Amino acid sequence: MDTLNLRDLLSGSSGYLEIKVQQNRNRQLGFLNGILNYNSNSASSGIMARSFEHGVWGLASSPDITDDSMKKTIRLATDNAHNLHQRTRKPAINLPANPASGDYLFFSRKNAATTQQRIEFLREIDTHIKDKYPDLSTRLVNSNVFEMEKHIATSDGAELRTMTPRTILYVMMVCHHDGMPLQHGDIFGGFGQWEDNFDDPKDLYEKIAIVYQQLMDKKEAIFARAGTFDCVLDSRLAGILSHEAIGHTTEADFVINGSIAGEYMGNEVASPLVTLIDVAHTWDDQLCPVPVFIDDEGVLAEDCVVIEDGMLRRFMHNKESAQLLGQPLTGNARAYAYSDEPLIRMRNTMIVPGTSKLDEMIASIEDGYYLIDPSNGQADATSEFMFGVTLGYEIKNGKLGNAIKETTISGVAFDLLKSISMVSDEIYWSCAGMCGKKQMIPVGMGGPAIKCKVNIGGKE
Amino acid sequence: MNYDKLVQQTLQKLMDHGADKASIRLSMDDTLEFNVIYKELNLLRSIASQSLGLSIIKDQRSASVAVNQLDETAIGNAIDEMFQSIQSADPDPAYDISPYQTPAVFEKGTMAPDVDLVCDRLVEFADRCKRDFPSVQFDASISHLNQRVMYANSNGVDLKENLGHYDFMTMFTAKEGNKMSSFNYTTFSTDDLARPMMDMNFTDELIRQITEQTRTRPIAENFTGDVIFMPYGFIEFLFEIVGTHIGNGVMLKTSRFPDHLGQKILDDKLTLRVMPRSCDLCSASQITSDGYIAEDATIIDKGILRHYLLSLFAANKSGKQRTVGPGSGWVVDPGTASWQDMIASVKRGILCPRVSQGSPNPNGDFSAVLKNSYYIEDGRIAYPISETMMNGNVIDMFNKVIDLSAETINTGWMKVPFIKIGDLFISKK
Repeated sequence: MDTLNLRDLLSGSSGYLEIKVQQNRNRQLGFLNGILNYNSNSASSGIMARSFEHGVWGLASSPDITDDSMKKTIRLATDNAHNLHQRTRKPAINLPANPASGDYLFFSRKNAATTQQRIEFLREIDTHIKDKYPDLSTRLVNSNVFEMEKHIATSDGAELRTMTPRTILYVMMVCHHDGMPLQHGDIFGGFGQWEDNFDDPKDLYEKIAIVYQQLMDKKEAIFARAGTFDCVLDSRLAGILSHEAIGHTTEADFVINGSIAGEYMGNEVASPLVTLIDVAHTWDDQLCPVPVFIDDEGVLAEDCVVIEDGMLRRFMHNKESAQLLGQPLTGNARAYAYSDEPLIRMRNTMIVPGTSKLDEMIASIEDGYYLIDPSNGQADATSEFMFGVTLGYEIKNGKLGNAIKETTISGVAFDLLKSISMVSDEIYWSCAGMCGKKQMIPVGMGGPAIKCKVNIGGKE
Repeated sequence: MNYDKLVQQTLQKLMDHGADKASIRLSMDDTLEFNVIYKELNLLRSIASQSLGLSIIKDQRSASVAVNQLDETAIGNAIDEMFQSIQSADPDPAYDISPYQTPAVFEKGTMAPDVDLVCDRLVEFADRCKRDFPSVQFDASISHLNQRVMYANSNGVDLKENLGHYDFMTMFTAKEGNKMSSFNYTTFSTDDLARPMMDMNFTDELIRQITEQTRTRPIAENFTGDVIFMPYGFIEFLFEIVGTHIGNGVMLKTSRFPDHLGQKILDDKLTLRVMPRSCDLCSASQITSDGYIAEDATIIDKGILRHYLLSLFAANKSGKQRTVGPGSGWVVDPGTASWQDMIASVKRGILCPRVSQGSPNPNGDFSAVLKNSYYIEDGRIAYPISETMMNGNVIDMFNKVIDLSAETINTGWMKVPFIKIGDLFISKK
């Protein structure tokens, strides 16, 4: 990525100023029914300046990465803040600071795979699916390598360089049963460049076999019954619960705008089995899917223990919300594109694993559901949530029964958390989480399986 | 920079490198955006962005690249990279570019913002919201976007478009004591700022509703009844039909209507058009993503499928003829009843401004949470509801249309009425 001497360009600024050079890169390859139909490469880079004056912000951006362009962009950002101040006439406000500096460039240490090698890798997977599962009507094998590289400096003394990569491989299968299309898929990969995630296509065959079996199970799938049931939410689903249902309500901008969590600080909001953390970068000595060491406001990123043993303890902040609520900084400010302002974003949100075994949890339910794969999800300021569920099974007398058709589950998160009676001892991080709060951004979502009461959409 | 020259020279370079066919899309955006955050003016953004998309076909193989640095070196590197990656690609006769069309320049909307008026309208919105709905918390923004697009290809296609419009967005929730509502939001584009944002597209009604939604309750029992979807709720489901069943889903074989041209697929009260040429739809582009001049057309005519919404590639891949392309500028023909009269005729049902749902199964089955919704009994809105779900099949649903309203919203890219659907299963917590 082209970059500039940001520290020099910052000199002489009055008030708070942050400047940035950023490049987002995307490499997509994809096979549709054996033919490489998706073969694209994109890069978007530019500069941004953001100025804070008397409680208002001015921002400007340009794709032109030169010293002169940055000087003009800083001037425009400062003018924007000044012009807005003429309208608002707010008093001067000092933003809190916890500046940090460092380089966190996660380029792979392995030899880079060529485009040809990646294509052959995908082709081998596609051929395997075609040969092994000839009854499919559509096969899609897609890969996407996304890299976000930033160089940021702030007038309060921070300077950081980051390169955060993510590589995912998506397999989707369609079959027809009784004349109706059925679809199922899964995503593999995660943090890191291609070489960090994929080596031998055969490593994925076992997982692909599971995807196919789950698609076959859907042929006999039944509608879930509508209503509230004892359920086991698989660890694949618990991550989205942590993020959507609870995490969003405890982002401080939601809290300032009236999120119900604002009423609950210091109160018991969950079963004592529940500890929920927005992890900055490392959990259990492993880097999380989206490691953030310093945020886009130059703030040292720290773990934010949102719920500790069932008690609501902390909200996630950027500088402005921390100042407004008089709470400590957490390092949650992140932006997606070079032209975007940093917003309060979760990083790697997880429920801490417990001690139960998944089998015991399923065996403990007389009449309920085991819900495995989420699709999309949405949260609300009330903590009412919704997730699509693409794969689940009935539980009858402690044993798994029929698969259920795609459904939606919902509830009030803080009610659901109180109903949690078992937490499994495993952890699963979703590899492809994206959050769409004004800007899209990669997020980590993880957790163990949990047993709780959930409202399911159904046909009876 | 002379962008015409850049496009033509780059196109020539692609052909000189050995492409059989090539296409280019250059897009340049200038955005000015005022933001209200936590109910107060907070942020002014000036954003410049650009993107150059290049695609080539060689020996029936294809590759594409997009960059936003337009200097000779950056473009040269992108071209080299693309020609390298095409060597590993597979031949597919479905790849093609649009045929020659008479060069054209399109222009729609307001190209330069009235900066003071943008700020005035946003402040006016914030002031009215605070005055009329004091329990409401909100963020809002008004921006002006000037977008210039140039599309050219080696068949001699040379299309240009200049779009300018204002975009409004607000997200809001209400809080009374320790009781609070769900959030709701609205967003739309307009080519002028003649009217207050509050008076457009039911914005005031949606915010008024939110003030009532701090006192929700669950429905008493499960039932099957009518649901009146406000336009934003309606389009959630409409685009499921468009994407999965008459769009790309035809190519992916997830469509339930793969060979249904001329056949009745939905209720005869439903007519769906694409009207990208309409000045009424200020943000609908007149250049399609596959390089054609966009045409107005009736897609579903009184329930009968008249066109698939397939790009040139998707059409070739599906063995079908491309007609109107992927579509933009969506219009659903309105009915004659007022939305209030539609409510008055409901024995037992729901008024639904917004839904929150997982992706429906390709066969159309879905379940969704009814957000910001009301229980209707004996023709009257009874109370705002919470934790209520709706279950059905999206295709069955659009075959049980009872009525469409005379009122529509115009978001700049679609014009849609309220719709009343019968026989939907509603379940409580």
